[in-house]
Parts: sequence; structure tokens; C-alpha cells
Amino acid sequence: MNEQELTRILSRFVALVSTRLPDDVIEILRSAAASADDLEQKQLFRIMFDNLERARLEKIPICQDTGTPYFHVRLGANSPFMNCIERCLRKAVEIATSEIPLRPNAVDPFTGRNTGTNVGKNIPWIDYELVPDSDKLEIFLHMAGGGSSLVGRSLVLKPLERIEGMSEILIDTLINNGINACPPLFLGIGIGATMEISAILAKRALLKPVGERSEDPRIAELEEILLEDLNRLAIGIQGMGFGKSILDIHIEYSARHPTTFAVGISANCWVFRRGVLVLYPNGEFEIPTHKEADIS
Amino acid sequence: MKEHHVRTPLRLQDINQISIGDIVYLSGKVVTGRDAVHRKIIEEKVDPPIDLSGLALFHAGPVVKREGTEWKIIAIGSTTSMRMEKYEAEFIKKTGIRMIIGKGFMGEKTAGACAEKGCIVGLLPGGCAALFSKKVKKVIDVYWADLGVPEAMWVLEVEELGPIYVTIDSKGENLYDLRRRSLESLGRAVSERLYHDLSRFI
Repeated sequence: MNEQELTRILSRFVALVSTRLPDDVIEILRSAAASADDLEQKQLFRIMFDNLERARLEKIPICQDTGTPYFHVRLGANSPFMNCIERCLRKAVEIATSEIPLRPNAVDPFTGRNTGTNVGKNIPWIDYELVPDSDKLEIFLHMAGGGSSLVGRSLVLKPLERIEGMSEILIDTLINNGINACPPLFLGIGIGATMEISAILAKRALLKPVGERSEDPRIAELEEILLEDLNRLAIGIQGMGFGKSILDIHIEYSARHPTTFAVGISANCWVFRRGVLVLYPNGEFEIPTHKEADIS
Repeated sequence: MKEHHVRTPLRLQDINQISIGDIVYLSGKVVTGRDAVHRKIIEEKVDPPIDLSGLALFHAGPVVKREGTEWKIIAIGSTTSMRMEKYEAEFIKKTGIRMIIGKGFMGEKTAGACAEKGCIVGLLPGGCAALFSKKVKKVIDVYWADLGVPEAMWVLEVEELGPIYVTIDSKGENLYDLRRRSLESLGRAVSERLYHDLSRFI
């Protein structure tokens, strides 16, 4: 597979993620819809699923805010695509933006000028993670909408104030910002030594498959407890107070410094557009998040 | 909870019969306006390019495609209204807009201006832009295109856009006040619980 062919596949992958939700997100939305017991909730879910169906069939964006393209690439140290992947990803975003089309969302923070292509300074953002002894690339794509991104937060707490601090930041974030961010929401929580570490771990946590619990049984239990506790806020669908508020929570962490306890929160609306493309050295690929999709 | 079908230009008597919790389906001419349009009209004191009185303001930045000389709306839906809270009261007073459609809720300044000038605010379910694009019958015009596609002022003709859940009515009643009171009291209860639960883990 040459660079041009790879770019082509990646642009179709960007298009797929913008027009169709991943299987696990659809499944959790279906189960939330199935437990809806009043007419208002049922009507809202009907509109939401009608919209998903229309976007899928017509291959048009699910939401007009097609988001900021954010990639997390797990780079196999022996992958033959190491050198070209960044170029290909940038070009792929530009192609998908004009072909689907996507809404141009890359704005120069100083001049306010929109680049028109979704490509700009450091955008798409790429978070690389090196994987030793591997020859594949795992490309996670998240189309991060503005409404969801407004919820994001990270803060360094003093260790002695960690419990009340973490409780406060979670509740404040959800009732003040989460309510306007198209709930029901998905949450990623990062805990670590510095503000930057907690923020990036929060994003990686957010991108984990729905329903998959932490491999650390203690953290897995905490994820379940937080999900139960925070749903008691009854934010509800579209903030209206009925139905589920939060569909899933993941936690990632690093060791912390003795004097810090950093907490990051990354949130996503119900239209959780993310996908994973696994690329093998021979150019074959698979998209485990979208089983029935064919972009070859 | 009542259902209303209204058409712009809206008169005061059209919106005075609508209350918070009601559902509205809107037809007629609407204009989009988000952060940059508010900044231009309020901060930079530039007059709107068309008369907005009686029209509806849609907090939305569409996905568009140019087909020959015409613009086509590919996807359109509501964006977070609270971003515009800072300027919305002044915007209502300056333009005479009678209805605002967006996502989520708006605050007390906006509610005050709604009561004073006769305007309502409603929530159109977010994340449903493929579906709502079918309610746009025509792109009438676009102004301030230099602000970029999402921020420009798009003038659209819509048919039965909805369901729009009314969150502020022309008496200034605001559903957000009720939601906030409920969330703050639940927040206190959850906070105690969370403190107890977290202390087992961290």
C-alpha cells in the first residue's frame, strides 16, 4: 500500500466516523431507549435514532458540529508506516472535509480566521503512544464536538484535599456544563501527577470501549460506583431531568507526585463519534469499532 | 403541555400563548447566529444586514455544500445556547427577535429581556442535524461569510422545525431555574455520597 492509497483509506475512515456511530455506542443507546418508560423520553429517542439512520443511509454528518479531529495513534515500533502516518492523517482530514462534507472547524486563535479545511496549526491533534515489538498501527479517531469539549476540565489538587476536590470538580462540571452538552454523556477521568498527564489520560479513558472495565479490579469497582452515584444527579436526556444522565465512565491513571493529585475530565455527548482502525504492515486493515462497515 | 405550530414573522400575541414546557414547531424565515454574529452586532455595534424583528434566531452552524449558484444545507442542528448568554439580552433588545432556538438552557439576563421585549427561548434536541436538515426548505441568503461557514449569518426558510421544547417564555419564566434548583439540591446529596465512596479508594 502506497502513501496515496493509505490516505484514501484514512479519509474514508474519517467519513465513516462522522456519519455512523460505533457499534458499542449504538448498543448502549438502544438499551437506554429500551428502558425509557415515559412518552417524552420515547419521543426523544425516536428522533435520535431516526437521525442516526438518516445519516448512515445518506452518508451525511450525524451532527452539524463535525468536531475537532483528534487522533490517538498506538505506533507499533516496527510498523512500516511510521514515517508517513502524520502526513496521511492530515491529508485524509482535508479530503473528508471537502467530500462528505464536514464543517470546517479549525480557527486561528489570534486572527479568528477559519482555515476552511479542518487542518490548522497542530490540528488534527495527534497523541502518539509507542508500542514496542509491534508492527501494526492502531489509529483511534475522536471527532470532538465543541459542546462536549466545553465540559472538559483538569485541575491539580492538594493531596489532603483530594477527596472533596475530586467530588466537587465532578459534580460542578456535570451540573454547570454537562447539562448543556447534549446528555446522556460519556466520561473519561484521568488521575495523575500533573495537569497535562491527567488531561491526556482522561481523553484516553474516554476513548475506551463502552462497558469495558479497568483491568485493575479496584478501579473497575470505582468506575461502577461513580457511574451509579453521578447518575443520581438526574441531569437527564438533553438536560431535561428524565432518563439516563451518564452512559459510561472510564478511569486511567498514572503514579502521582507526593505533593499533587491531578484530576482531568473529558466528556462526550450522546453522539459519540469515535473509531479505531488497525493497520497491518501489508496494508490490510480492520475497523473493530464498526463491524459492518466496508470502506475498502 | 401544549403543542403550537407557528410561523414567522411572529407577533407578540403568537408567543404570549406559549408557556415553558410547551412544544413548538416553527415555520418561516429564521437566521442563524452564534458567537461571532453576537460579537459583531453587540460588541462591534454593527447593524444586522436585514431587519430581524419578529424573526427567529437559530443558534446553529450548518454543514453546507455549494451546488452551482445555490447553497445546500447538508446538516444543521442546535449549538450550546449558554455561550451566547453574555450578549443575548442586548441582542433581543436591539433586534426585536421573537424566538431563540438552541441547545440546552439560557440564563436570567436572557429571561429578563424575554419578559421585557416579548421573546421566547426553546431547545431543539441536539445531535440530530441529519434529520433537521430536511426541515430547511431553502437557503435564502448568507451574510458575513467572511466569519467562516459555522459563524456566518445564514437566512433560511424552514418548515415545521421541531420539536422545540420551550425553556423561557414571554413572561420570563425560565425552566433552567427549576432545573438548577433540582440539580443543586441533588448535587449536595450526591456530593456527600461521593465523598464517602471516594474515601474508600483514594
